[in-house]
Amino acid sequence: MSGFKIIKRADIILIAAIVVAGIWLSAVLILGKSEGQTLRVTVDGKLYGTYNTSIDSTVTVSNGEDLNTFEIKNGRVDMVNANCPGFDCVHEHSIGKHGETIVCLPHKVVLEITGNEKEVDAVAR
Amino acid sequence: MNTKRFFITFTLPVFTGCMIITGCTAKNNPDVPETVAAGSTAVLNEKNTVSAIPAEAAFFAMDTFMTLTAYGENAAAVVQEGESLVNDIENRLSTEIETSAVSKLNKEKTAVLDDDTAHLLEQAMEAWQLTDGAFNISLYPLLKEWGFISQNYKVPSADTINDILENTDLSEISFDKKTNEIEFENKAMEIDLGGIAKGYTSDALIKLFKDKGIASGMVNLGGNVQLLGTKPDGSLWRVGISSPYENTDFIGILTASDVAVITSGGYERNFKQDGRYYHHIMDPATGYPADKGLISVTVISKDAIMADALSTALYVMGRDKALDFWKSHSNDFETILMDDTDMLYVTEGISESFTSDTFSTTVVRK
Ligand SMILES: [Zn+2]
Repeated sequence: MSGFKIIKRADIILIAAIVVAGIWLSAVLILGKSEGQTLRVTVDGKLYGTYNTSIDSTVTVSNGEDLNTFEIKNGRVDMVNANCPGFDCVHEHSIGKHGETIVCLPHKVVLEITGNEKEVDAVAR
Repeated sequence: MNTKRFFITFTLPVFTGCMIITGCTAKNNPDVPETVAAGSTAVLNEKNTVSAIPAEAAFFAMDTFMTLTAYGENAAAVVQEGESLVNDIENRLSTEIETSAVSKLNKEKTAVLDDDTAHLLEQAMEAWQLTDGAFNISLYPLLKEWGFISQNYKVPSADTINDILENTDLSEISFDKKTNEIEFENKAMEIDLGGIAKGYTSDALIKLFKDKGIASGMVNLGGNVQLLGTKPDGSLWRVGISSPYENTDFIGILTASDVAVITSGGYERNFKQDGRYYHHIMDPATGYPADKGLISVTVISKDAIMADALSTALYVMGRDKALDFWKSHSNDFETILMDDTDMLYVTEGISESFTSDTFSTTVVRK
C-alpha cells in the first residue's frame, strides 16, 4: 500500500465519521429523544424532584415508610423496586417519551417524562 | 421507512429548526408545547385571548391518577370544578366508600337510587345484554376472592369460583325505571360499577367543560382518555396506545378529536403464582382471567361509557367474536385489537388515523 492511498482512505473514514456524527448530533438535538428530556417526580401532587434523563442514575423516593426506587438508564426510566402492595408500578414497562408516566397508586408517586418534543398528548392504557 | 415516516423524521425537525432560527415564539408554534405543573392555573396572554397554555388539574381519585386539561377562558376554574365533580361521583359509586349509594345497595340488597346512578346502572345492564354477558357488573365478589381489590393476590379454588358464579346473573336484579327502585333477588349478589365508572366520569367531565364554554380539552382518568374538540391550534390530539412490552412505548399512535379512547389489557394489573400469570380482566363465563388470545383492546367511541364497557367485553370475547361484534355495531365504535401473535387489527373507520411503526396491522372492513 502506498502512503497516498492510506491518506485517501483515512480521509474517507474521517468524512464518514463526520457525517455520521453530524447526523447523530442533529437527530439528538432536533428530535430530542434521548437528550433534553426531564423526569418530573411528584409525591401526592407535590414536586419531589426533577432529573435529567440523559444522566444514568438510581434514585429512591422515600416518603415515611413508602419507598420507590427508579433507575434512569440510556434515556429511559424504570421503576425497579418498591414496597407497595401489589408492585404494580414495578411491573409497568419503562418510559422514555414525553407524556409517558409510571404511577405508584398506593404511594401516590408519579414519574412523568417532560421535554421539548411532545410525541403524544396522552397515553391510553 | 415509508414516506410519511420520512417526512416526520427529517422534514419536520428541519421546519421546526427554521422556525426557531427565525425567532418564531413557542406560543405560535404548535410543535413546542409548554409544560405546566400539576394543579397550576391557566395563563391568559396579554390580549386576553385563548392561551396556548392549558389549565391542568392532576390528582389521585378512583384508585387512579387523573389529569384534566382545558384551554381557554375560565379553564383554571373549570378543571378545579372538574376535580370536585370526580370526587362527588366517587363518593356516590365507589364500593370502597361505605357511605356510597353502591355500597349501601350491596349491603342492603335494595335501594332507591338517584337519577344519575339509576341511569348508569341501566346502561350497565344494557351493556351486559348487548355483549351477551361479556360485560358484567356483578363480578365484585369474584375480584375480591382473587385479591384484585385488596392486592393480596391468590388463585381461589375451583369450588369457590363456581359458587361465586352462581350469583352473577344480572336478570336476578329487579329495577323499576319509574321509581328508581332496585332490588337484588339473589341476596348474595354484589355489584361494582368500576367497569364503566371512569367512562361515565369522563363523559360527565366533558359535559361540564362544554357547559362552561371550553372548546378544547382532554381528560385522562388513569389512561382512560376523552378528547374535547381539537387542540387549540386546530390540529388533532395524538393519543399513544400503551404497549404491553418493555422495549416498546406504544402499540401505535391515534390522531383524533371529540372521542373517548379506552384501552384494556391484562398486562396492567397481574400477579404470578406457581409460574403462571393471572390478570385482572375476568371472564364472567369461567371466573378465571379472560384468556381468548387478546393482549390489548382499545375502543374509540363518542360514548365513553360504551367505550369503557366494550374495552373489557371485547377482551373477554377474543379476536373473532370481537370483530364480529364490531361488524354489527360499526356505527357506534371503532377498535384496535392486539392478539398474542402481536398482530394488530384496526377497524376501517380509524385505519387512516392510526399508525404503528412497530407492529403489523390488518385493516378490518365491514
Ligand atoms: Zn407501587
